[in-house]
Amino acid sequence: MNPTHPPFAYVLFFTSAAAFRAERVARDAGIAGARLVPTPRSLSSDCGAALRLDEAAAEAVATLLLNAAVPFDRIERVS
Amino acid sequence: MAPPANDKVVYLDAAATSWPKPPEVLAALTRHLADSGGNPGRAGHRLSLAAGRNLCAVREGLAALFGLKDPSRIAFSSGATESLNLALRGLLRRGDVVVADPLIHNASARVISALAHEGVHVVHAPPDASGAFDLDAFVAALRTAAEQCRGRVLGLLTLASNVSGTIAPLGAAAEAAREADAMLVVDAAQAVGHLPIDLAEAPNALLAFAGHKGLLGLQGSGGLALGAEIDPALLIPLRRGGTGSRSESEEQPDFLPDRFEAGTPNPPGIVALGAGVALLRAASLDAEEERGAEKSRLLIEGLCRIGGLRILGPGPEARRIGLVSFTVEGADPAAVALALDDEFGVLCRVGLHCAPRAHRALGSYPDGAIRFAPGRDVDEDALHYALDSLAQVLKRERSR
Ligand SMILES: Cc1ncc(COP(=O)(O)O)c(C=O)c1O
Repeated sequence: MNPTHPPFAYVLFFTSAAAFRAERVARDAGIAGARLVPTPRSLSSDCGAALRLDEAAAEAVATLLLNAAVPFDRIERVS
Repeated sequence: MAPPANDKVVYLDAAATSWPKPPEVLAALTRHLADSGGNPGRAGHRLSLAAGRNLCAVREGLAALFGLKDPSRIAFSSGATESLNLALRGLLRRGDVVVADPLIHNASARVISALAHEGVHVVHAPPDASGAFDLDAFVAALRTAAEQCRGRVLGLLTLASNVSGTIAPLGAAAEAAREADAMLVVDAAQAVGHLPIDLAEAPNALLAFAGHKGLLGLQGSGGLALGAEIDPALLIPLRRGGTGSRSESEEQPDFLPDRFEAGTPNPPGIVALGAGVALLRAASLDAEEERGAEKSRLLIEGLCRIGGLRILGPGPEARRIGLVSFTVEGADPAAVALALDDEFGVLCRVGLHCAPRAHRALGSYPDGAIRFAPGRDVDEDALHYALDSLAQVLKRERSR
């Protein structure tokens, strides 16, 4: 069900409203394994959700989100 | 005429709240509560995420409904009242001016009255001869305000009146506001779901809406839509609190929609109105408006035939949602409404409809009026039955 495996990239958002839009944009574009997960503590002290990706998909997802005008904070790679 | 066989009542109070809720709305609500019952945006587990996805879909549906590109410009609230409080209180300070149309509901009238005590100048633009919104008078009042006021100028427009049912021209009012360098606060409580609304023609508008009327959702739901030109930083939030974002900070986030969505939202209410939005968009808002207009024409014609009734506002040529109010000669409207309910199952609303100023504009203050606002399911036969019932009740009441 979840082909994603490390190394991961995490898209971090200011607001969960954007996180849910991003998940839909990524899934609509067929980004396998894009999944909202609790943001790892190492990336943020926040209680929000982050979009976890295959690291290899980070570039493509960043472009997708920019094109869809979904605001995000940054993308972090975690190995 | 016999009562409609498939219905125990003819519901003519849809302006107060929609009833019955469509099966699609009830199904979406049940599904949401069963499968997505977590608190959205507050955790990363599957039930919370499922709830968040549902809210996201509704936000996107509403943005599309209002012609907004950016869904984060929809802030959910408990209804039109809260949204109007947010828009008016959030923007107006001592020395500013608000120019209000003549058909305002207490949801905005009481807010600007309170603001007047705090030093905001309130100008009431007069109605036209029929008691409807008068664009020329609105333009003139905005112009004068812009010339005389050194502070912020705001227009306040009731898009569809809950008393007369008439629809005001959104694009023209927004343009008038723009010429006065003003934003336009729009009370769309009675308009959403009944007609197409395009904020592309009113990018300087803040549109307050309820979820439980034309959008066919639940009480306690609604929101505020910010036109593309509205700078959210100008709007001071009504409430501050948890948003699930920036939890390390004790300052309210400044980004949308979190700036205006402190505290746990109302996911069941939001999901329900979202199902209503999906249903209405599939049916087309142009078609919804035509259906409403058709009902109003039928009602006006029937009421005129009965005689001794005065229709509030302009005649059948005016643009109206499916809503007609009238005063009765020779009978107590409350007694008429009671008899309609008790003897015929026809449910309507009498009185001032929380809009005394609108009744003043329409010449029905302080006695109020009877309002027929047929629900979406009330068909032509049911309207004829209601008119027939009214004729019988009036005949008897007048011969007392
Ligand atoms: C014109 C108008 N504005 C505002 C409202 C308030 O809506 P709500 O009670 O959902 O906040 C109503 C509801 O009756 C209304 O008719």
